[in-house]
Amino acid sequence: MAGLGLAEMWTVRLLKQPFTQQIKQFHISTALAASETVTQEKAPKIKTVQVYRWNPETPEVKPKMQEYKIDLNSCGPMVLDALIKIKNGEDSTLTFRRSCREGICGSCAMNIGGVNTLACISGINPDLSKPLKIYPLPHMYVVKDLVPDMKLFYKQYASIEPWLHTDVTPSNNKEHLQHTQDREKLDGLYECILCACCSTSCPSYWWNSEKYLGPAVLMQAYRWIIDSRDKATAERLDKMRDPFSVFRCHTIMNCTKTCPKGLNPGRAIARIKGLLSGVTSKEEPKAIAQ
Amino acid sequence: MLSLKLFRQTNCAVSVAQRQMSFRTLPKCLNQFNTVTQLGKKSLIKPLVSAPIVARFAGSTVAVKSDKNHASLWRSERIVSIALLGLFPAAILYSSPIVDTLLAISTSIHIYWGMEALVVDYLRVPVVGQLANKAGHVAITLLAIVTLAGFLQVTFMGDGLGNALVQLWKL
Repeated sequence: MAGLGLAEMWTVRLLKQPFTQQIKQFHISTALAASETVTQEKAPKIKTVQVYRWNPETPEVKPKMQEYKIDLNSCGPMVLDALIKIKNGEDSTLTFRRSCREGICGSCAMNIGGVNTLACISGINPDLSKPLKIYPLPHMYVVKDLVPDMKLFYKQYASIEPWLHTDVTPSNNKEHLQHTQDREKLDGLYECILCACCSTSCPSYWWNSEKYLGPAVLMQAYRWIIDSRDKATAERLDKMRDPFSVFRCHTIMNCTKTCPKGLNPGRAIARIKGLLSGVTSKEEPKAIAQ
Repeated sequence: MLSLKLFRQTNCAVSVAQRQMSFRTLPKCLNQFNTVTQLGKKSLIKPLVSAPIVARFAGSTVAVKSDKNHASLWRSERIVSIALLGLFPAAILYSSPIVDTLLAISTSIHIYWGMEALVVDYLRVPVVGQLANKAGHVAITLLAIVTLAGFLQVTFMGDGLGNALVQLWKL
């Protein structure tokens, strides 16, 4: 390979490798190129980040907003990137939940700039004059910093028994089949990741969280109520006929406005109300041609 | 051996449902579930679906719930709200004692339900105490009665509720 230049040698080496290895090489080279240009050319873009802090080990100290300065040039685009940068570089005591960093686990739900959303899929506002304000989910007990206590939320979720109730043995003895049109009814419901953004944005849930189930849980309740395979529809509905479980919803629609997954819990609750009051009824499962 | 495990597994499933949902017992169940799955996949289907639905629903509510059925009240609320949409123009166009009385009753009850929601949400017993909560309920009931009495007075002593609305508009 004596006659070859650097670029040719890189190409020859690349072609010899398996495909996955090649992809990796490309990623590395683009990342390197990007980081070089960033560090060389741009002036620092200092963004102020204000984060809610409270430590259970020092309960006498009142909760406060702590200010951090981060350079957006050396930070990823999302709010979660900023939080991770602060935790790695400035203040390792900053506490928050995160896991998937791509909006599918629901761990990093928090109140960012006054809106409940997932830190991992909400971008940092590039306007440097405005501080980025981050609070935990509103009206939840705080465990530490940005970590809310989700016990009640999960208990309410468990109370709707979110699994299939049926005493029918499937005809093929393996699985409960469902017509595609029946399956389509679950679209927009099953995608919920239970991040609790909607429930904690709902004033009714703020005031009556002990008795009102909240939009997230109600949407999942509806998901099981209208499932064509589920045979416990009447029992499920009877459990929420009281004035609080469902009917505390005043169609404020904060839930739908804030949902980071673009779902519509408000509509699901309205449909539960329709089913409960007898205005509508659950359709019979469609026959499946086998 | 297999039947014994299956028995324990179903037993476990039922006991979990009858108690409150407990996450401590759940992993135990899951472990047993796993061992059973390894033993025989097909035989598992029946015990899972055989427990009656009603038994599985027993005693797993979260909060203390009243047996009150709010669904019919909710339906009445909707009917009154929709009726009001028609009653207001009807009272203005064809003001008569019957339409006016209907409008007076439905407006008063609509106000009562709206204010009651405010009392339930903002005068909660754990926050303001039992007394203030009761006082709130009494106050809105009185308010609704006074409103209704006033409307009826305008209807039968004055020149009709619909005409009164027109007069108000002229101001």
